[in-house]
Parts: sequence; C-alpha cells; structure tokens
Amino acid sequence: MRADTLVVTGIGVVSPWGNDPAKLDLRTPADADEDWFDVVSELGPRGYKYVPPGCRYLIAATRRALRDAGDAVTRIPEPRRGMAVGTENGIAGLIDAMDETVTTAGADRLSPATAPYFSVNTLAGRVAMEHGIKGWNLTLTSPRAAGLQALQAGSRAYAAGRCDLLLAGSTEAALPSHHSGHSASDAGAAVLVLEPRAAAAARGAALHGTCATATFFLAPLLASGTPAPDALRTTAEALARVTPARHRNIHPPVRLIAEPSPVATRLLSQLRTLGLRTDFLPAGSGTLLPVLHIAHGLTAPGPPHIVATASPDGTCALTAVHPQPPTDPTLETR
Amino acid sequence: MTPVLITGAGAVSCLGVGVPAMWKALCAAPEIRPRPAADPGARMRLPLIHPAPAEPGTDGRATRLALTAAREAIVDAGLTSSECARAPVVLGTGGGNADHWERPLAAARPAPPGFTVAAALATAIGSGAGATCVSNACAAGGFALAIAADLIRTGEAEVVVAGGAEAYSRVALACFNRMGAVDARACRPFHRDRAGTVFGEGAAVFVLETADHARRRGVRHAYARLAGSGWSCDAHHLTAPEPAGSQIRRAMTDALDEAGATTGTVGCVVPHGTGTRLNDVVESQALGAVFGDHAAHLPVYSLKALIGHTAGAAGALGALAAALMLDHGTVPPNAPLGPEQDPHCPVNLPQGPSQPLTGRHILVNAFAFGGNNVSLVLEGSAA
Amino acid sequence: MTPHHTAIDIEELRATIAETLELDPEEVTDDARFVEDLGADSLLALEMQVVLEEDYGVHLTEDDLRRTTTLRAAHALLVARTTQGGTVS
Repeated sequence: MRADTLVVTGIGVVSPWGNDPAKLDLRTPADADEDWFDVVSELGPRGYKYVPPGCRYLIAATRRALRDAGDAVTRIPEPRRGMAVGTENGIAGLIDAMDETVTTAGADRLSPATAPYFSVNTLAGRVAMEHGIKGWNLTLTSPRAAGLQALQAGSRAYAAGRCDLLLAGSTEAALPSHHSGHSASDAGAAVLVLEPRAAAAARGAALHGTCATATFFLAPLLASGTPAPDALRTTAEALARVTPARHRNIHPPVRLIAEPSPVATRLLSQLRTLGLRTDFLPAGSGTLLPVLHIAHGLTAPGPPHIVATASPDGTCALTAVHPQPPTDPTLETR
Repeated sequence: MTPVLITGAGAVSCLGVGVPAMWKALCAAPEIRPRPAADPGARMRLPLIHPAPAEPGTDGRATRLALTAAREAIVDAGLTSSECARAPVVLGTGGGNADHWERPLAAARPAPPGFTVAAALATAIGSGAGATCVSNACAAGGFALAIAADLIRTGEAEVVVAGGAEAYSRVALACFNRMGAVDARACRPFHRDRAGTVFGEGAAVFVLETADHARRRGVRHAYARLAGSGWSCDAHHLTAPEPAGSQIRRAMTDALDEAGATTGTVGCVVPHGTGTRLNDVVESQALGAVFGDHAAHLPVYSLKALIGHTAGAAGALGALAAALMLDHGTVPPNAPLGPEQDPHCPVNLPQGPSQPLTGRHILVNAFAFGGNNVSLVLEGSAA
Repeated sequence: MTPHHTAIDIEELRATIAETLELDPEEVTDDARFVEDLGADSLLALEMQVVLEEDYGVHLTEDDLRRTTTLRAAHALLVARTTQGGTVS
C-alpha cells in the first residue's frame, strides 16, 4: 500500500451559489430550478443537446477543476487516471421523464441519443471520455454520503496502487417538480483533483490542502431508541481514522450536514459527547452539499475542520479538511 | 499481500433461492426462457426478464433480493452479531430500487430514495462499519467485490459483506428496447444469431475476510480466495465497447498480475458475454490476446446464457459461479450452442457433461456502459 | 412543424436534421453522409429516425434507416412515403 498522501491541487464547482469555490455562501438557500447554469458559456455551443443536466454540471466542474490544477492531468498516462463520483439524484429527473414516456407513448418514443443516460454511471463515463480517464471510473450512490464516499473510495484506490491522479466529487440535478424533495434539491457539481504530495511538489503545483474520509453506519432503528453501546465507539473510531494522532487534542470543529432524522440527532449528540463543537446545517436532497462545503473549506487558509453527513437510512461519513497552508506550524505534515 | 477469503455466500436468481440451488442448476443447465415482465406499464416491444423470487416486504425489490442473499451468506459464514457489527457493507446495484424511484403508476405513492440497498443490508445485519452503494451499471457487483478486497488489503476492515443486486427496471429495459439491444428469444452470448441481451433479476452476497480473522473464529471452509482485481475504463463511448478492447485486456492482465496468476494457471473464465453483437466479439478477441495459445482450450463458462444479464449483480453472481467451481473442482456444462456458435467469437464453451477444473485460478469479467470494466481473479482456497 | 406535408420542403428537412445532429444547416449539404462525414453514431441515427417519424408522420423501418445516409436520400424516402399515403400521425 502506498503511504504518500494525496493533496488537492484543483477545485472545480458549478452551483446555484456560483462557480467560485471561494465565494460560496452555502448557508443561504439557493433555488436549484433557477436558470443558474448557462450551457453555452460553460460547455460550448454544441454537443450537449442530449446530455442531461447532472452530466453537464459534472463536465463543467471537471473542466474547472482541471484548469485550476494546471497541467496535472496531461502529465499522467491515461491508464493511471482515476475518477470517483458520488450522485444520488443525478438522473432522477431524467428517469422520471423517461418513465412518463414509457408508460404513456411507449419505449419507441424515447430519445435514442439520451437513452444511455438511464444508467447513472454514464455521467462520469462521459467525463472520462473527455479527459482520457482510462484507469478506472467509479460511481457511488449512497444517499447523502456518496460524495464523501467518492473521496474515500478514490483515495483507497490510489493507496492500492490503482491510479496516480484522482478526480473525485459529486454531481446532482433537481428532482422532478412533483417530487416531495424537489424544493430542497441539490443541483450542480463539485470536483477535486488530487495527486501525490511528491508529484505536486515536483511540478510546483499550488496546493489547496488535504482531506481524509471515513464512513460508518448508525442503524436508524437503534438511532433514537435503545442505547447502542458500540455506536459511540464506531463514531469515535471513524474520527480517529481521519485525524492523525498528533492532532487528537485539537478537537476540530464539525459541520454536520443532514436533514433532521433520528440518525442525524444521534450523530450530533455523539459528536458533542466526544467534545467536538458541531454545527448542524440542513442538507439538500442529494450528495453535493457536503462536497461543496469541502471545496469551499479548501479555498482559504484556516484550521482543520470536519465535514460530516448522515443519511436517514443510517449511512454516515465524515471528511477531515486541512486547508493549505496550515495556520498552526505544528500541523505541518512532516 | 493479505489473502482475502470467501467464507460465506448467498444467492438468488431465476434459478431459485440459495447457493445449493444455484450449483444444482448450473450442473443441470436447464433451458430457461425469459418471460414478459409483470408490469402493466411496460410499453415496449420486448418486455422480457428472468424474474427472481423476491421475498415479500415493503422494501424495494433490489433490497429484498439483496437481503435474501445476505442472510444466507451471514449464516453460511457463521458470523456472529459482534463480527457483523465490524463488517462494512459494499453493495453493487445499477438501478437500485427502481420500483421506488421510477414514476409510480399510482401517482399518490411516495417515491423514497432508490439507492438504499447497501444501507438496508447494513441495518439488517447490524453493521456499524459503513454502507457503500456502488452503481457502475453492469460492472457494479464486480467493483463492489474489488472494493471490498481493497478494504481488507488496506487494513480498513478484517471482514466485509459485499456483493451485487439487481431487480427489474422498467426504464432500463425500455431504454435497451429503444437502443435495439434486447434479443427477442433469449440471452445467447457468443451465438451466431444473438441480437442483444435479456436481463435477469438476482443477487449474490459474500462474506470476505482475512485468513487471520477466519482462523481466529474457527472457520473450517472457504469457497475460494478473491486473489486480485483489475480496473479500467474505455473512455471511448457511452454504450459501445472500444473495438480494440485495449482497456478490457488491461483489466484482465492487471487482475491476473495482482493475483499472481499466469495464463497457464487459469482453469476457466466467466466472461462478461451479454449476447450483444459487438461486445461478445471484442471480449472473445481480448481473451485470445490475453491467453494466447492457451485460449483455444481454456474453458469459458457463460453464466448469462442460463440466468440472463443480471446487470449490477452480474459480476457478483459470476464470482459466485467461479467460487463454486473452485470449491467443487468442476466446470459445469454451458447451455448448448452446438454449431450455432459465432465463428467471430472463437471461445471454448464446453457443453455436455461437467468436466474437472484444471488450474487453480478463475477469471471473472464485468464490463459496463460508460466503458467501466472490472476483472476479478479467484483462487482455490486449497491452493 | 406540421405533420401533414404532401410535398416535403428540403430546407425544412435540412433544418430538422441539422438540429438533431447539432450542426449548422449549411453543414448538412445534400450529399454529406451522416455517419462518415457528419459524425453521427448509431444512436444519433436512431434519434433521427424518431424525429422524422414524429415530424412527418411516417413509419421507417431499419432498412429505411440504413438507406437514409444523406439529406438527399432522406428527402427522397420521405417524398415516397408521404405520397404513398404513409400513415399520418
């Protein structure tokens, strides 16, 4: 297993809060339905007619991230480039529209050129085609947590020697208007470019920082009912996995991004029991908002902090974000 | 490298519930015809499917199939609740609970999230160690197993519950109809007249663990080792394979290298082989390129001819077929193709009686839309 | 676009095909081949079939599709189909 840490050298965002990761005001509500994304200016005049919104956002965010990372991608042979993307509702609107066609006019009236996108992994597959990402391509879909899990799975694949350059992030598109989660829809995409610290140093790349992710599970049936003695240990262990031993006494602040649920309540109380100052922020419908918080957190120097999320189904994830350069010299990773 | 043992398995498919039922059917190789989907909304020319027996319940259909397989795997492995608590769940599914997230025919019915299959499994087995849903279409189950093995090798977990599950999806089948990718008769990989695939429902779930962990808890039987995986992406086209097959070849050779296998130690291949015209040719040629002179004699076991293309479960069910072959030392007969095998797909598909497995490795392929490819190599546990 | 043509306007057809293939109408010359010259793949060819069927109220077979390699061929086919009294949607 490789020990060299991955560092973030590129950040790309397109979102209703704007496309500058440093200027995302994520605490104010934003309307996923607003006409906030301009296909022609972001992507070009043609070639995207049949590409659904969740894929357009991912293409745009990836281009922005790679521009930010300089020549990172062109230095790495195609079979050594990997990409992991989290999405929960990236094609939900498309599936809904297709299903309406199938159940009324019938399958013959589906658009053939759009048909491949019924499969959620084609969003990242399309991006792979554009940038020669031939190492591998992963699509993760766990509700709320898949964006953080993409960072985790991608970093693990790097550690296992499966790539030398990693793109990881999340994309989401608005839920159909008749869906109960529509008004809280996540929309947009965020992509990080990660590479080994030594490679970034060798090419003189500007660093945004590092992030480390752990996932765990708090069963919803136990979450609010009888005490689950192991659950606190589970959360503590997840925190320990993303926090180097020398940082244990720092107690980084936590931003927990989740909709109210017994799982979120339990996680919040656990984090506070463990001595962590924890803010609770409402999640959107999707996996994007936690990744936007990470992207934003990496744009400015500041102390390490943790972005956490909890899905009502029990899936929990947290990412420790270390912006570069660290404000406290004792945090220097040497 | 840390060996990863397969110490428990569970399965459900059109062959029935349970690993013993699956092995029995593999050895008998019955002819199973697909049926029209029991779905009044399926307005399409070929609404064909190999349905699997889903347990009753209010969960989505993919979740229920996965739960059936997972319970069997846990009991089979003899995992205790405290061992389950420390086992992350990694589950591959292309469409998740499509019956939940596709537009309900009853408009008032709520549409709960679709990709909750891994979380439902984690809840059911009492895992505290995480739930990850992998949705690389028809390679999802293969990637889930490969990720599970990496979780063990990177030291993140000692025991993992992983597999794949797929249920009928009206939209997926409609899109395959629209793209002209459904065969009106059956799933006929490598057949001269194949005209597309036929989907099947199913799930396969495994308990994977380190040899140390297995020893500590007194495990007596392992089906096989998950010895290596190779990952790649065509980055060529959303649906069509890259004609030269360079990336699927790399997935296969990377998996063989990671497993320490050579072409001579491989006793069988469970191909991706879906019955789609170009895919089967490209995979046949890639097998020829990877295995060279050995390819002409290397038995290929075409599981999809029996159970259809189980999409996000296909890699996991393929791995289960491989594990059972290694465990029994036998390659079951392929569904009869006779002289109708496509000459452009010159793979060796033994028909007739079962034959002994020679070689201690089996290669399993799972390729998908988006050019997402994964190959797995399993190794006999006695080796 | 109305589905009740009896005479097929080739300029209208050019515009429809250009829009389907995401090209400028000038690029869709009478004899430019959709696949070889204009970069259409098999899914875009199918897309064109669906669009033409809807716009012109005809049914096109796979054979039709194979023969419809250029604007000129598509026009000839549609003229033949609509004057034969092909089904009007």
